[in-house]
Amino acid sequence: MANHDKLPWDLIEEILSCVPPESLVRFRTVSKQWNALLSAKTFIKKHKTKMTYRFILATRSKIYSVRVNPNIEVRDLTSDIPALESQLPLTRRLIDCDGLLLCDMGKRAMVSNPWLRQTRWVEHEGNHRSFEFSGIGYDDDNRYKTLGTHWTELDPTKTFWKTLDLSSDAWKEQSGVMEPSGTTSSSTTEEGTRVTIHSTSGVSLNGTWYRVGSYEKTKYSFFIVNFDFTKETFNHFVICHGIYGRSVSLLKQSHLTKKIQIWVTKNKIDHKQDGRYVEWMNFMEVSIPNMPDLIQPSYFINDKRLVVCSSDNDGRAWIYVLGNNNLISKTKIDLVVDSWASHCSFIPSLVSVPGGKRRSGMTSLVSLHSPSCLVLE
Amino acid sequence: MSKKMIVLKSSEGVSFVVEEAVARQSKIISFLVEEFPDRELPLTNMTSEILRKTIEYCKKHVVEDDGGGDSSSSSSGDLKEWDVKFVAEIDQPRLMDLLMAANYLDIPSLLDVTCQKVADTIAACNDEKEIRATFNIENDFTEEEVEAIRMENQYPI
Repeated sequence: MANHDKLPWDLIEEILSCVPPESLVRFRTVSKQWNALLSAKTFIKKHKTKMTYRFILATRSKIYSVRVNPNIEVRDLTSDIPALESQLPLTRRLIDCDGLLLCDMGKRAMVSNPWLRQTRWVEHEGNHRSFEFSGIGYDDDNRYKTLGTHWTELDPTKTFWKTLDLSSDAWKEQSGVMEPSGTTSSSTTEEGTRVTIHSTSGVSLNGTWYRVGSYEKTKYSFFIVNFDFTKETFNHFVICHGIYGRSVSLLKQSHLTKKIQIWVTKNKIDHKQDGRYVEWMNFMEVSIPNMPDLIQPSYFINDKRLVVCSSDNDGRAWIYVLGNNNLISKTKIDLVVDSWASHCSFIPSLVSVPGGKRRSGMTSLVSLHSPSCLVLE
Repeated sequence: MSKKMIVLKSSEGVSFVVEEAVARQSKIISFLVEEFPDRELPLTNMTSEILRKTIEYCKKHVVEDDGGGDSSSSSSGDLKEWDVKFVAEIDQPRLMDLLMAANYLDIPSLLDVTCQKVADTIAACNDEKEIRATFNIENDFTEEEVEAIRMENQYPI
């Protein structure tokens, strides 16, 4: 490549925002300006908008990235997540939040950015058998936190939750009864009943965690719950029946006709918004003969196409690409050998894992700061 | 009705007659056409070669935008393919010139395509020395500083 006149800095920034994170981090040492740029919050944010969605799939022994480009590209990320091999078997649940991946293993969880090869573990101490790491997000000061929930038979009406601030490693415990927002006495037959959160069907948006939930007693009456990481409280975002999917966009499939509908919020939403006043519109409808039941689907929308990752009845992972009321392609991911992989949609990012050390390659676990947290050294 | 034509002049003084709709994809030209109708527009920092390439891109995109409508997912796919081929055929120094032209004339889609192509080239670079040569960047790090950053990030070099 030939030398060239200097490009203006804003153009270099524009170009670098299109380079995938794993390549970018290799080039921190180009110059001081480049190094500073890769840590700048505004750049990290801009960079993320240029990256394309993909799926992350976790089986018992491996983690994969699956891109649709438009052919299916599968990449094994297991070696990019240091010390993972000593932690087998992996979990059932993957949760994404703005570039960081939370891998829940019950009492412990892994927070990782595989593209930067950064990983740390968080561990919950205590004897709540029902404890699980169910979410990750950040507050108004951009501090990343994980959310854990549990319940107790002594007080089954209450949901207990704990947040862990990843940069200070401080736990905060709270409890409460989740009340539907804006309910009147006529529609509160479920009130005071514990909420079940469907962790596989959710999304994080601007740091806020949204999940589909239902009450123990009325399992098929679904609604959306969100968790505000600033106030550290749960809110009922919106109440809707039969919806299975996401909050900013919702994927809904009819059990009877297999018709798929995508609903999206008309305007941008944030955690401060009252779910009652959010307007929804029907974004897409796909009605195809022989469309299978989507089982624990994760999905994204790209270029007017709906891309869904779902398991079949045997637990094998498939990618469906749908558009214009047509099934454009349907591909079984043969490289993912184990069945019932957990998965989520994900955008690679330059977001550093807070609190965790950036070294890779070592496998021993050493406690740091707080006895309730473990970090990779 | 005949289409309105405008004249763009390169740095070498070569005139290019272009349909107004084609040229208006540049926000700058769009503005200039309104301010100075019926005038030749001098683009003093663009060579004929780069201007010709820019016009080629704009012509392709204006045609597709006219005929396409919103139901043409295949034609938008074809257009993407065309874009990829278009930038693949340009060598690195000219690609940089085209990128700067897209920035100067304010043609967002051409800027995106050229940025992506340069970004792909960067991703394929082996080390920081190659990057410095491509962008004519001075190394302002000391050996110790480089070592410290590598330790911090521990990425296999």
